[in-house]
Amino acid sequence: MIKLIDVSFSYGDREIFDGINMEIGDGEWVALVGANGSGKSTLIKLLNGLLVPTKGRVLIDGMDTRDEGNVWEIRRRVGVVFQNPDTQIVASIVEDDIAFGPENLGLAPEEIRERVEQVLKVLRLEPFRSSPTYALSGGQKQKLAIAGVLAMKPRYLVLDEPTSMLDPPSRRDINKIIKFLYDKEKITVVYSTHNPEEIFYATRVIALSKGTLFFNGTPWEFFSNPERVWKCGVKLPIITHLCYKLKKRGLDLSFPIFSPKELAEELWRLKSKM
Amino acid sequence: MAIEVKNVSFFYSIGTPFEKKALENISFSLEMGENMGILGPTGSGKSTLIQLLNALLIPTKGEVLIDGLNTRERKNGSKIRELVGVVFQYPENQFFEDTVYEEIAFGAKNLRLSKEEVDRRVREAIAVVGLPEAILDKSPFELSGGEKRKVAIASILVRKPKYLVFDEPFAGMDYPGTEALVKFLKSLRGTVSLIVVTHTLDELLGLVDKIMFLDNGKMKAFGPVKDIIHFEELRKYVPLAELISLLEQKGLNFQLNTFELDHLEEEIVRNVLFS
Ligand SMILES: Nc1ncnc2c1ncn2[C@@H]1O[C@H](COP(=O)(O)OP(=O)(O)OP(=O)(O)O)[C@@H](O)[C@H]1O
Ligand SMILES: Nc1ncnc2c1ncn2[C@@H]1O[C@H](COP(=O)(O)OP(=O)(O)OP(=O)(O)O)[C@@H](O)[C@H]1O
Ligand SMILES: [Mg+2]
Ligand SMILES: [Mg+2]
Repeated sequence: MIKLIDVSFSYGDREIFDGINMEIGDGEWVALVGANGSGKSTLIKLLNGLLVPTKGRVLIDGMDTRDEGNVWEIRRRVGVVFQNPDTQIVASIVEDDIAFGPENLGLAPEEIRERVEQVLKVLRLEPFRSSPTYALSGGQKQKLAIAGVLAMKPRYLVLDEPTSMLDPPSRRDINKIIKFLYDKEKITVVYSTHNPEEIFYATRVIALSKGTLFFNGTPWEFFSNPERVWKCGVKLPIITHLCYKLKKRGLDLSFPIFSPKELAEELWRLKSKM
Repeated sequence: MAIEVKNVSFFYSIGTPFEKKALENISFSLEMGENMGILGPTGSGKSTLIQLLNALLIPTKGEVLIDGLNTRERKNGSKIRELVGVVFQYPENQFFEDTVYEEIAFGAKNLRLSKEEVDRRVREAIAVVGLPEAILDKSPFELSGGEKRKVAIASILVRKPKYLVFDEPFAGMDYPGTEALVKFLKSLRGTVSLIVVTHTLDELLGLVDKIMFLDNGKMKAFGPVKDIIHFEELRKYVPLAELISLLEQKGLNFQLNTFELDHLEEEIVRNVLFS
């Protein structure tokens, strides 16, 4: 379990959090959302001890991130995919970069090989295994950053806008891979995103605003109130946005609707009744 | 005047084991005032194409002409970079100034503008991307990911280039930032040409005149939005395109001359309630 107790954090004199409390239980999938600068990445860095609170405590399975002796074990349990993949890619060849994390865990060479092969395969990076990392496109770099963390098999998988540069089919692929791990390995997921489509995988949405937990509830609850979604600096899925506009024009649609197919069916049903 | 790309192919690392054909025989042209969206899977060559437009990369084969200036000729380089402003995919990797103000003002450096004019443009540019004035004194390195992206966009906007090129401008951008930028880009209509690489074209569907779909270095589709909107692959990228296709299949008769969300809304209301 992840626990934040009265956590405050400042960069110099710039205060980001002033006494927040949060619990993320095992088996949860939390979508972390909020406007640019609302503190998502800061919160994420507090979870693996890269940043430590100025006041209060962050506990990972009871281990305080401020205690130096816990650093190694916390990094092993909490795997973080950072927002900019360039800050994460360390090796000059793709497969070496994926092996870097597992090597640091001190795993046996055969185990490392096996894990590297596995993630190369699921992320469809096999054609790039011997490519220099500088030669990857923006989206390929994001996939590599994800691969490196997956190969470490963390108990808590924390991702900071991991698919922001990926095309929709590749993004959905990544979402499904994580969902599969979530179901099969019973990992806990914390996933920050500006893409509303990705929020649906979550069991819970936490929206940050001005250093506070502005919203805490299910994705369905979150999207059922568009004004609040916007207030959090979050987009509505475009289909939901259109559905909202049509409803305001007096069309008797259910709300919220997310998929083009569902909206098309409902509109057709309405038209047939006219 | 226009952008002309003629039979362009591009190879990375020619003659090495890492030789990679990134673009193959691409041709298109864009008139001044026309806007274009570029889509395609990861690794399809979008960023490569964009870097060919401001002479950062030179075609392996074929020609790129900007207002008639060939990017192949070295002496055209600075003029071309004045005409074509590019916001790269990870622009924050190129920051180097001490404050956000200087970082943005640097963009206008070679334009021989007065100090007052630079100041006016810097403030205008941050407003356009929805950043507060208070951010100007901060270090560009001590910003959130989305704030950095907005600063990078502002640093190109201050130059007021004739051809504005964006590589994934909305990646990592929040709702207010996206709204502000889209609104601004709409206000530019006709006065510049926009080329936008984006995986979320829905926001710009009403703004682009043409769409290009790249796949594995090849141009799979290119043309006016009303034609490309029915291109099968596009439906996986643009939910509105999927919706339009589904409704048309059911027999709804759309009279869309723009793909503005508001216009689509009108057409649906007209179709469902009044026909
Ligand atoms: N190293 C730093 N020094 C000082 N201030 C910082 C630093 N990093 C971030 N900030 C500030 O802290 C606030 C929170 O930043 P953070 O990166 O956590 O936001 P975020 O929610 O991840 O935003 P985004 O969606 O843009 O990635 C921002 O206002 C930012 O300017
Ligand atoms: N410096 C380089 N050396 C060798 N190959 C490269 C280099 N840069 C890019 N490539 C390769 O060229 C192809 C096209 O890359 P490009 O960056 O143009 O793709 P993209 O469409 O922008 O992808 P993304 O959506 O992921 O940003 C990719 O397969 C990439 O691996
Ligand atoms: Mg962030
Ligand atoms: Mg790219």
